[in-house]
Amino acid sequence: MTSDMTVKTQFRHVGSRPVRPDGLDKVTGRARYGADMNLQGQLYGHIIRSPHAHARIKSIDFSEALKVPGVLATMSGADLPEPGEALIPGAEIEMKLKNVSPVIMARDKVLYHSHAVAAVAATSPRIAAEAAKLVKVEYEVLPAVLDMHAALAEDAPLLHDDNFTVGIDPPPEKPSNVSVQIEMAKGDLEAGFAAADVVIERTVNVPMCHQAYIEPHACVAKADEKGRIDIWCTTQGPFVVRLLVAEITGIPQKDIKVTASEIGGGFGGKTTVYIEPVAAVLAKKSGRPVKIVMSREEVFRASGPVSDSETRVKIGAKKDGTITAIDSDMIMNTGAYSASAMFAGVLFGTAPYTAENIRSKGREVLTNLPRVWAYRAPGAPQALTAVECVVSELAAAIGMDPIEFRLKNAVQEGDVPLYGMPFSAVGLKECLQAAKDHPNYQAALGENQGRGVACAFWINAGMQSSASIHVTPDGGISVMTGSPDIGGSRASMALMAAEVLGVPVETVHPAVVDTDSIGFCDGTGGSRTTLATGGAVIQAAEKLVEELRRRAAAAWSVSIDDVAWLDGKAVERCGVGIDELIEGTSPVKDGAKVLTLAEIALTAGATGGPLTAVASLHAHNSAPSFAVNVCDVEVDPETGKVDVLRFTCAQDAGKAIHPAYVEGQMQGGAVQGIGWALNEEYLFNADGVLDNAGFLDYRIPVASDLPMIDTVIVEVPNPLHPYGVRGVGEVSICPPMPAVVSAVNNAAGTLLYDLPMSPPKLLAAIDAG
Amino acid sequence: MQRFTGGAREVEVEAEDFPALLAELCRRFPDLGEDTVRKQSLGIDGMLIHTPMLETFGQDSQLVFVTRIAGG
Amino acid sequence: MQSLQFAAPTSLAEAAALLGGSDNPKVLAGGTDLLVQMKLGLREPALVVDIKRIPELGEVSLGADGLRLGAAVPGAEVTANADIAALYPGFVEALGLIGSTQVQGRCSPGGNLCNSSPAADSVPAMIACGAQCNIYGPNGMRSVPVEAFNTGPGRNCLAADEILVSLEFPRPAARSADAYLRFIPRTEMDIAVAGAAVALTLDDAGVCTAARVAIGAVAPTALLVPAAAEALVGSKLDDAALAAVAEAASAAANPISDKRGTAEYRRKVVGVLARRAALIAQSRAQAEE
Ligand SMILES: Cc1cc2nc3c(=O)[nH]c(=O)nc-3n(C[C@H](O)[C@H](O)[C@H](O)COP(=O)(O)OP(=O)(O)OC[C@H]3O[C@@H](n4cnc5c(N)ncnc54)[C@H](O)[C@@H]3O)c2cc1C
Repeated sequence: MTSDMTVKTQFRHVGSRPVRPDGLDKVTGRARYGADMNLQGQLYGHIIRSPHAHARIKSIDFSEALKVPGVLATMSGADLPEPGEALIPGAEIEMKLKNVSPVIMARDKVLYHSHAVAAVAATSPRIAAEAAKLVKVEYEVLPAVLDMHAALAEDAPLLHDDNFTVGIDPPPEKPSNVSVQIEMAKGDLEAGFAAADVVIERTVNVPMCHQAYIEPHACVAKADEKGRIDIWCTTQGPFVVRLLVAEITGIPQKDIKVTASEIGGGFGGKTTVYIEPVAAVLAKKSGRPVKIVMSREEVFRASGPVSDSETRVKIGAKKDGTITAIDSDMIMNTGAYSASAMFAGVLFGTAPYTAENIRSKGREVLTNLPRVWAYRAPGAPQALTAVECVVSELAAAIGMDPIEFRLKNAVQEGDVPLYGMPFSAVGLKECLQAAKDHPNYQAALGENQGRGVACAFWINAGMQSSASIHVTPDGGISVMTGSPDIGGSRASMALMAAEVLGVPVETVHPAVVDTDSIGFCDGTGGSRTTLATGGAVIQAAEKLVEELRRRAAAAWSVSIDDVAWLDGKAVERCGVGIDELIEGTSPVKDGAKVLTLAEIALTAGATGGPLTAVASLHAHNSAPSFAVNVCDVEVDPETGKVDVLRFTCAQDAGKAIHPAYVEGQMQGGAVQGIGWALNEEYLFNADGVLDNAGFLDYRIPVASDLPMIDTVIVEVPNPLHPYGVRGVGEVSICPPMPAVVSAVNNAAGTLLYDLPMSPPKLLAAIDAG
Repeated sequence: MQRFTGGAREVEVEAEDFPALLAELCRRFPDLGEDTVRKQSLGIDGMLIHTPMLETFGQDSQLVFVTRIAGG
Repeated sequence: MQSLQFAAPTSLAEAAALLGGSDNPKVLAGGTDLLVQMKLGLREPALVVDIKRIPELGEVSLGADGLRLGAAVPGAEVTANADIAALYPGFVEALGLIGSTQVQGRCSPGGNLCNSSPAADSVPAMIACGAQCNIYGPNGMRSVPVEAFNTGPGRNCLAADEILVSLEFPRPAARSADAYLRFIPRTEMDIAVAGAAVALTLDDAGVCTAARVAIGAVAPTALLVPAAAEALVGSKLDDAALAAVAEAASAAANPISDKRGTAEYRRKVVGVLARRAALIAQSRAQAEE
């Protein structure tokens, strides 16, 4: 990978919209999701969960449960190795095992309501549930801290008495509920504000929410006599499951095989484990396969929801629209263990803007709530919501169009964001222009209607991927990767392989295979799969083309240099220059020999054996994405209800391999952001018990709540990727929240920054005038 | 990292590859420690290396340490 | 572990006897409340008595006296009946709000009433229409007005061996119509935060001569609000009358604060809904000319 590589711009397959290869199975119900896997003789695991938000576990007594006929194994935290101070090697970011292992099974303390404390495995789900009721857990209830401000109080009860805030100099001597704090700055903040004509400061609250993937976590684990463990589960990363199960249970990775099922949504929430280590331990102890399926309620209560945050943002601008200074201070809730994406919030909240004077601070706060986990562009939506709402207010205050205002301050190639890495070619200005040019931006607004604009940034990951390609004797192409397909990536893999091989995309069969059958792949997350796993597919396909040329050369007894690969065929060059051989219009010389891929495949045995190619890589060529949303709403001033009238997304995809699924990512992100802005929130009662652990009262938008989400794909190629690809899966959830919030405030004449803008809250704000 | 560099945000370093960079930084800033450096991603002339180890640099390469960030 | 008995009798007498013979029986109509509650472990009946095979429970008869609607008739059958919709548009729209297409194929007006949720959508509409409950028990039939049926959240006036057989709706006078509005934060698949139903009759001049106003989800049971009806009668639904309707509905409300809305919010919004429902009923009654 070098920076002087050329980015391909002419494509035959890439950029087209074939039907996704997994589509038929999904719409016919044939697709097998996590809970569809069953093994002969399997047991059913049931997890016993804490009724308290904070308590010391005094004892766990399984004796009564074990008397129930059909109960064959039990487990508790005592069955897992003590984590000590170990770090998990090979994890995406630094993770301490002691922040991960106790989420699977509590040790001496439970730290949130529904925290897992024990498990039983029995011959039927019913017996397991009944036996679970008979497990006696004795608790010493401790005072709990249920929100960040309570946790920050001077005399607050401590979750971990060994937590000393990281990032303070000198290191504190007293433990606290702040796990880490950070401050990033550039320029001269005071001078920046002094130069401003208008300064606006707001505090923006984003609530704790859930990724709300429709498919609950589910797995089956089986142990054989030699101690090898097979796990089938729904996950964004089978290799992540292998790693975490190994670290948590002490079973070595070499003895674990993980097969990912079809996945019903993840959005970051399935980049970790909850039940797989439990099933593995119960399977080992019982000698029988163990299946665990979380209920919807368990998913809400005891998986990893998404941090709430409180961000105070102050921004100054000159009358001409130049942003002179940005000061941001965020606290982000991490729940019971350090795992939040506070760093991303601090680093990326200001990334769209060229402002020279910036300070961004953040603290991560521990509370007796479920340990949070990743959700699309983790940490960025919270920070960008705060910044973008203030930016929109500033534009209005100086009387400038909100898109013009952003264009004036938008970053471009060469600009250096707070996190330090200069931008290569990026598409923020192009996205802003596309949004401005969209007919929706000209639509007239009526009474009680308002428009909101926001832009956003996400860094996107690269990381490690592997791909392997096999050719069937009749010329079919199998493309295998270890990256679960959560957004249509198999379609993209097929397109990229077809592009390189010059074959019809229908002949390519993409598959996601188990951890024994392919080289290591980091999880499907960080918007990396099309870029990195796709990169491995491209490389493997290129190797295969080389091999195919070699086989043809052998068959013709010519040098490989005399064989070109054109439109899925080996073609004898007969002296025609390589530059003249253009796909589709190849000037093949009369009499030149030609072998199709199928012909080479049929005789592969005679020319050197089966045709396969493998590629593995660590992708360093990811590039950031920008997106811009425009939202129109109407507010019912008497009920506080918000109707979204129009919604427009413009996003830089670099190169859209399969445009329909890029649009799908944009639309999905928009819908999730709309839900988070308007109605989604975790509601806890005074004891820390989640009050809305189901889709009735955890209100994600339903189809009839939404207008068509209009999309514009902007393509500013990533200069480091052979096809110009950028990640598209995450940035899409960053701009919708601030776009909706600004639209609602404009429509209602309010300054409500306490999300979600649910009808009771909005009506109260309207009535307060 | 700035905590350990006496506040310095930018430094000129003579190093051909990541091991040399690591050694040089740790020599200049004894409090920094290899671990702190290794926990960062490294940007090299616009390429983001998640877990740098053996990377080599050009004459005027611009290197940036970036806090490692998880995706969803 | 408990076992569960199931029976599907074909006569009222048989059903009542089964119910009387069990110490923990439960009637099953469409099951869209009951089965959900059983799955959540909120109810663990020993005997489930499916009443859908009893002829009276599935009867629909629309005549000069009005409508008699079997308690177990599924919502979809009612909403597909244009004659019923013409006479009781508000009740039909309320029943039609329940759940989704799938739920509509099963959910019944009797189940909606007997589940005794304060937020049940079709109940305020039934009350506004002046519907009566026909109840069968060991001692024969008895009748109570819908507004007297429920006694609290999850509680009603049925004895364990009684069955709601049908709902009896009087035939509205000429130039009458009803309307129901609920407030939910979404557009579908939600539970009413507040609801209001209005049935009214106009004279030739457009003056309201009779009205019934009922509100839901803002008190332990759906309530008939006579003061709101009085505000309408004698008016042409001018602004003052409408303001009085809203005020009366809000005043009658006795809501709680919960995850679905604050008491203050519910009280205010139920007035807004009552006012808006009155206007819809009015325009429907006028359209009858
Ligand atoms: C997805 C979903 C969405 C829903 N949306 C709504 C909504 O928007 N609005 C709303 O109001 N409700 C809603 N509901 C609740 C439910 O669908 C309604 O209350 C429905 O009318 C219940 O009718 P059923 O026939 O299914 O009742 P069942 O579940 O069969 O019975 C409900 C209760 O009434 C008793 N019962 C039923 N019939 C009789 C009888 N004839 N005599 C004596 N007792 C009887 C049963 O024993 C049980 O206690 C929803 C439910 C679901 C699952």
